[in-house]
Amino acid sequence: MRLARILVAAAVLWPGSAQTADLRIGLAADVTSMDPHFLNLQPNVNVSWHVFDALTHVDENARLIPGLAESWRALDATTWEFRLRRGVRFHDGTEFTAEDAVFSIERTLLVANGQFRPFTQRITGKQIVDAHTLRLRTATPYAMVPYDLDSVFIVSRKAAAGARSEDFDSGKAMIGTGPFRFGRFSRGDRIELARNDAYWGQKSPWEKVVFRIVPNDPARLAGLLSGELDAIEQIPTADLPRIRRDPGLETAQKVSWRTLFFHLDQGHDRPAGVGDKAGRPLAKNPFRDLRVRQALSKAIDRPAIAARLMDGAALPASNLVSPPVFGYATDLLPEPYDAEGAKRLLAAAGYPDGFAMTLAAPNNRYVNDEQIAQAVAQMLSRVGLQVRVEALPINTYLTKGRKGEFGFALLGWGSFSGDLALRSLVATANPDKGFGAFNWSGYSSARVDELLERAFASVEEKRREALAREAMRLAMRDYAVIPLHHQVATWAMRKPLAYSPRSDEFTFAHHFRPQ
Amino acid sequence: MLAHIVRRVAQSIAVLAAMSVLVFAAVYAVGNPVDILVNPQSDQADIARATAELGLDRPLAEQYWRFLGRALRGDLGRSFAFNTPAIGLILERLPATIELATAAMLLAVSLGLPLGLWAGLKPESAAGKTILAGSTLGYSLPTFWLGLMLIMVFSVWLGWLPSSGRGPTVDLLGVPVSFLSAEGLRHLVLPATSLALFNLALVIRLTRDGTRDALRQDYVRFARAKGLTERRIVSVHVLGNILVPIVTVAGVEFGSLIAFAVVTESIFAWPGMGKLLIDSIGVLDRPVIVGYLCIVVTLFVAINLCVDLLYACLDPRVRLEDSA
Repeated sequence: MRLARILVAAAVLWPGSAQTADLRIGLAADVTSMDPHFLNLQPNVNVSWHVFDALTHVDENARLIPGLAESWRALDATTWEFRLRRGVRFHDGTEFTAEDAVFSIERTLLVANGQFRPFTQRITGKQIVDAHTLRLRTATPYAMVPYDLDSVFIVSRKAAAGARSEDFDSGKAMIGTGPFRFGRFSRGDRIELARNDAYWGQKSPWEKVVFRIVPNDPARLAGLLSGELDAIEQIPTADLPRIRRDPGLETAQKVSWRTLFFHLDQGHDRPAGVGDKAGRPLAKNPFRDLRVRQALSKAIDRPAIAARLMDGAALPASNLVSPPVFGYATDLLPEPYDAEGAKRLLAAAGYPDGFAMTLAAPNNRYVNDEQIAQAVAQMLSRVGLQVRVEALPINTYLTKGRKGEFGFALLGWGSFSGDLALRSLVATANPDKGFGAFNWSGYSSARVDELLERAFASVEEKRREALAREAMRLAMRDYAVIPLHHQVATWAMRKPLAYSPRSDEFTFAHHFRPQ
Repeated sequence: MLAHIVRRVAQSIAVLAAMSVLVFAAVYAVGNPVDILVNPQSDQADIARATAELGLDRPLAEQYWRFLGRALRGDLGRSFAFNTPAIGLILERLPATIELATAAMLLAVSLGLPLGLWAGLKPESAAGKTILAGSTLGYSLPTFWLGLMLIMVFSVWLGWLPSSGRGPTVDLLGVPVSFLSAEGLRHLVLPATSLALFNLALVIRLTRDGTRDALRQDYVRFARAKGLTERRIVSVHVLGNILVPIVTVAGVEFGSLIAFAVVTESIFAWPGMGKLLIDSIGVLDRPVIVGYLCIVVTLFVAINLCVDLLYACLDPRVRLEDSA
């Protein structure tokens, strides 16, 4: 009895922590820097979007919408004109003008090891027509300018002049136009933000927002269950059923732009890990045979992986970008599972008894990545292949992949557009053109390359999308790579909160609504 | 004494040099950090430029030589992932880890000594047996499981304690600490308990066995025969003699707590050095990895030195000479 009284007293003295107009969100990965022009990592960019804006934004379907630029148009094939929003003020009260935009674009080129340069280095001329009109020139026709600028955060020229990354971490240079003012950055622990009451767009319903860094999955969920966090991102698929049963919790889901697929090495004569079942090399590279690539694709039961292994948090893929994204070819359908057809194709290609191969996959990057590799290996063995899984941490995996050390490898990719994804993954590797930087398959098709070049040179959106779709169709029908599924991103929150989920997987505090 | 200290320092410099070469080569062998940090929209030229900007395009020996030159001037380089000096990054996280490790060690010793004494003095009693059984459990529970159970019970079910994070900090001589505010203390309880359990079990075992040994020794029997009170026998003759091994183990363990609180820090989202190390290995942030290990080695050496000095105080027979 006495013990019970002590326990009750303790519970009263130490309440779970009730809050009012504050929002506490648990982030799944560490934020390394506040500098919006340093690393292009999802957690960093997520925070930048709260304090800063870009000239163009994307909506929840990853489609381009106006940001600090109200409108834009191509004056000719190499000149873009942006009309900037009037009356927008930075958090310190100074007015946003074209000078700040130019300063920000130039700063991305100056930050040491800054990873935003790929978005700005093609801009060769910057002309300030007036305080709210900006013209940007490229050396060759380049349709991606408005898309690339979605990744260039606009910092205050006054506050960020000469600023180093440390000055952003300390808050000195963290002056933006975004929906929140910067409060405090406690590395590895939390980021605190306060509402910008003068925001030009829809204002946040939350006065104060705390982002807590809780990378451990069970701990993040415990934080939500105990009421210390109001919302969390990246719910492990295994916990989904339990969260859905909880009457106090709500979930939000959206097909992510992240697409998982398999690279199959068609470039080398002897792809790594591929041989006959006795371990001898094969006479020729089997992946160069379209029938073999098609057989591998038919042997994978995508709906089973999506339903069982991913608990529904995946959508079988037919494209290299997910359905809402620019350049998605709607007429392509996910390959139906057909083990018998796969066997016939392998036999026709001269491998009636299959062959041996190694399936490489990361084990700490994508949702259930290693389990996916195991499941696919089993499915491939059902059509007569002998498959060994090599699962590696991502830090080793990417280096080996880029060196061409994998014959058959799982990779995930998120892109704003189909032509961009194809440029990196499927276009013939060509350093001069910047094509095929992640084409581990060594795939090469002159027709796909040509369509891509025409797409990038088409400043007219409809035409560009048609070209991007055509390139996607060609590459997919040729099985340049084998698409697997699009991830579905999941958020969980305490009722009565609601979130409008986003394809780009960002967790925006200002998009949580009290119902 | 002085010769002893000088020799220790010389040894530790050799250890530091060997360690840095090993880690440098190991990180190089694992992979290229540029592959992880690079913008996916990069092309081949961007990747080459990023590699060059980090100096990773040079031969490994040259990279090491440049690192050594800077390290001797106290500069361990800038973190690839955080874009701030690695040494500052580590020192910024050091207080959180030291606080956690100290709290855990204090807990382990302040509970472990009396419990161990009890179990040693009354081994056949129910309490003595329970304490022993409890310590076996403390040995065998995996830290991550224990941490999650503590969170489940005390945060989720009972709602008494926060499940993660460090909470608000108060500056003590310019160093941010948690234990000076009630809210900070609440955040400290679960991770410190979780981290302390193994060492608590260890201290109980050491104290219990030491006590049982000491009770059989001649000097205790003589003390009894002399008619000394049980209290004096235990506090002076027993405790005084069993402290030396306990201090040794506690010292070594304290070092391990600081260096390897990784699991606990990850589960409780405690922003300490261990978590920094794991994150840095994840992206092959070499300046931070090397810097972390340099600091940990230095800490170990310092702790061992303190233990040596403590010996000399506790046991008058110990002399810190070259022959010692």
